[in-house]
Amino acid sequence: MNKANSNNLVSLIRQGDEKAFETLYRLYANNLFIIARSYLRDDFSAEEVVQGIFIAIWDKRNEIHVKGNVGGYLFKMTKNRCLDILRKPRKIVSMEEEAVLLEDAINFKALQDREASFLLEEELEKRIEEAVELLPKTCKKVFLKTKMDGLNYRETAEELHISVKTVESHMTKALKHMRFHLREFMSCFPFFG
Amino acid sequence: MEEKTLVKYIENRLEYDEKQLVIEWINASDENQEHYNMLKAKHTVSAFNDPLLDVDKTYAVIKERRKKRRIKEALRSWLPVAGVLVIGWLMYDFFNSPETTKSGIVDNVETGIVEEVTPKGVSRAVTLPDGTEVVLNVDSRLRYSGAFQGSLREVFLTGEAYFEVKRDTSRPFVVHAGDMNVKVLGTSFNVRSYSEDEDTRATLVDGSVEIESAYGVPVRLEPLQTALLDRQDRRIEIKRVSAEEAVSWKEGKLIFRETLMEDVLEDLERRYDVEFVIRSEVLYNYQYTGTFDNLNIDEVLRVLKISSPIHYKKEGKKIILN
Repeated sequence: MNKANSNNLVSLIRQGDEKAFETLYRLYANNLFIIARSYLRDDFSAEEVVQGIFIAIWDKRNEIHVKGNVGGYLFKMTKNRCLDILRKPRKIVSMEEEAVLLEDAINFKALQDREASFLLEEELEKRIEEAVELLPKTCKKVFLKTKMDGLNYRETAEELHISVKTVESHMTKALKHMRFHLREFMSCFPFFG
Repeated sequence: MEEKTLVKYIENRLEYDEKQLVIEWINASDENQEHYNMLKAKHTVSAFNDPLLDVDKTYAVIKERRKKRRIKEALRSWLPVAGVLVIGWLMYDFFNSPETTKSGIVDNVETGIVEEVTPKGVSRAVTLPDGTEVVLNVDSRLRYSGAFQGSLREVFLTGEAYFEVKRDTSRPFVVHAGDMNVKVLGTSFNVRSYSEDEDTRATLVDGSVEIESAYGVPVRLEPLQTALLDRQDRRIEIKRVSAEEAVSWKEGKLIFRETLMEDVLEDLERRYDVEFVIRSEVLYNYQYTGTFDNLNIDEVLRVLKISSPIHYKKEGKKIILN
């Protein structure tokens, strides 16, 4: 997703658009969870991190300022929250307690690593970009207009100077394609399922 | 260190002793740590798009939290207006009701409107003129025309009440609660419509009722079914409940099943006439499951402390949680 489009998603969220918020969640939540889970090595904490981020985004939607892309913004939030958890000694009662603390320290450093962070952030955004980029040209435009900018079919048709019927057929194609590439993304739009 | 071993470590497939060796190796030099850092990142990325998170389920939780806050925000933004309405209404009552009895009954002689009110912490049984038995839960209000004349027996409810309606096929009994109307002939059921709730709900215990709302066709309930009318989505959902759950409050029980702590505390505030001050973000997301069987507030707090991440301090009617 290019910068302009992700920012549209954010500005829709700032206006209180729940569908845009859900789209953002469905696009990113799973991969953010994978990052948190990998460094925290604990599903429960990872789930809490991801939920906390999105609840914070919704609660403070008026104050969101995204420089660069949304993926980078979400990654930094995930990273900071994970670092907070890894920094504090966790309450773990087990034989391997000491090892867990040592591993937290190791993973704290690993997540702080600039090069590693760069890789994670890049890949996070790339997965979504790739899927959108693979769409044929008009199809991509239609998809971005309706799903990212939140226009309806008629508005999209007017803007792109094509008929509503053409918009519809492009959407069907785009959604089929996105379903293949981003399984999670699709559950956003059950009507096309 | 062999790359293979390191990958095995990252995938958590090593025995305790081998694991210790890897940890030591990573800690041995900055170079080793950096090597691990990149391998860890690459391994993380390779798992991208594996559907590991139940997105539907977790999104539902977030949606739930968001809805609660929206209601709070709405309440906050309407507070000045609500204040005027409440004041206006209080004055009306003050000038128009010659008698206010201690039990909370407000009897308006001129209009013949009878109002039964229960404060926080007190529930009460009421018999209506037609013989219908009502148990009014805490912090609730029931209004009806004293004579109960006409072709309908109509009552207006805010809060929660249990009804055992006297059978009279010629004059249906109707409960108006929020956006919901519950229409019955002769039957027993429970209606809940506190203004802080997200939904209005009617639970049928015995007999048959019809649920009407402005948002769709009437729905007929079977015994031990609950109709939930979501005030936001304006949709009616039918759920099955156990007999115990249906009207547990009548027996002095509070039953919670995976209920958000915020909702639990709201119920406790009404029941025990206390006020909770929440100073912990974690508590908001905590879901509670448990039953309080005729406990006093101190016993309830003790149970909560043992079974959930709660610490409390009591200051008169205020209970501070963190």
